[in-house]
Amino acid sequence: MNIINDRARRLFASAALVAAASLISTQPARAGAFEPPPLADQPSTEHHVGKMVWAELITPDLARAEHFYAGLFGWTFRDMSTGDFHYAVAMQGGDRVAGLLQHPVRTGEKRQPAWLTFLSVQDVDAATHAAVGHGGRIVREPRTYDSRGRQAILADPQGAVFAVIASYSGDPGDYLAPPGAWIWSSVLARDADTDAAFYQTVFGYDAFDIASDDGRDHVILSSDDYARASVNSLPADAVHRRPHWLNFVRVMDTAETATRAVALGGSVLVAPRLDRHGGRLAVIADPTGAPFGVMEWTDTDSKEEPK
Amino acid sequence: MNRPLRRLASLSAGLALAASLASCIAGVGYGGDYGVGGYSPGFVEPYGYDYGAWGGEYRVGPGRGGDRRSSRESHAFHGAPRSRATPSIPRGSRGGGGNHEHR
Repeated sequence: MNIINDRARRLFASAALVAAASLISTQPARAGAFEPPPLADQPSTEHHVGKMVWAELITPDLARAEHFYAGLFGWTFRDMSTGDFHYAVAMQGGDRVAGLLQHPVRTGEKRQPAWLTFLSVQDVDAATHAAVGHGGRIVREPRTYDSRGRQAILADPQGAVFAVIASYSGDPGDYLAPPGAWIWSSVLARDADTDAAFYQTVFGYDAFDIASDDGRDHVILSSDDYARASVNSLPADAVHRRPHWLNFVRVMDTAETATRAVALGGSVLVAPRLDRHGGRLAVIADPTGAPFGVMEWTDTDSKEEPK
Repeated sequence: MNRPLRRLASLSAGLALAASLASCIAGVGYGGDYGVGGYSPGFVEPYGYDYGAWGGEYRVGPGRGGDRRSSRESHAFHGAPRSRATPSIPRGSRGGGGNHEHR
């Protein structure tokens, strides 16, 4: 009897010890829990489904990224780091324009730093359901964050990754982006036609097929009668070019910006070239390899189609 | 083992199991990605896509509105009526509305 009681006491003691240790181990995570910040300081009552409303850079070197983007666009940064979690909000002219999140590259991880595009939706779960129902997949399940809203990360049927968000602080208004702010987004797809159909289903976009002499599909997606993004065919020889979203920051001089990007440690992926709106654009990689675009837009740009 | 002691031991074991599970959940970040702060989208882009060597075909920007439509008849998507002008980006000033200049 005494042996049995001793065994029970030992079992109880070890179970209690495990319970206590487990409870204690949860405390640091809760105490240091990071909540992604709202998308704006001044909440808006506007909602523009399908509009690119936020971008988040996942980078292995936050300090280096801040130095690069500050030098390139004049962004300033608000440090929102918590404990070992490093996050900064990029500010441009008093507005929040992006989030920068530090994430270590794990050994053997076949992933690369990138900007994640956030598109506005009214209902994240409905958008997720629609995406999955039409060949997309869930990269990160829908989740609600106290101050930001609800969001999910998805991939379209061809693999381009994007996020959907129903922001508690509303969406930014529809006005011409100032220099240093996001002005445009595009999707590069293996089959632009079917990819445009996917996004039309998920976001309810109006779709306009644009005439081109390069034999490739270019589709403008719009909502509220504003162009929100384009879906474009990747070149036929694009073996290593995978479908992706790419966002463009408005600049006053694309060539000068590209030169400065190189001086700051970045590289030019697509050299400055004239686009259909008559201004120049370029694609740049930041020092850790995350690609983004820069684009001129002035009212004096020629409306002539590039040759 | 008497019954109260057995119950106590079972309760403790259950508590330990629940606490262990709770600690796992608290430690799991965004969508199963382990993160320090509970928000960690992680790297979502596969490594190694090549961006360079584009020819003249890299043309992905918006038009200025009213851009000529393709003559292609059928698409996987539902094309907007041809009577509608192709829209451009918002071009108005802040607080002054979007200014649909192509109209």
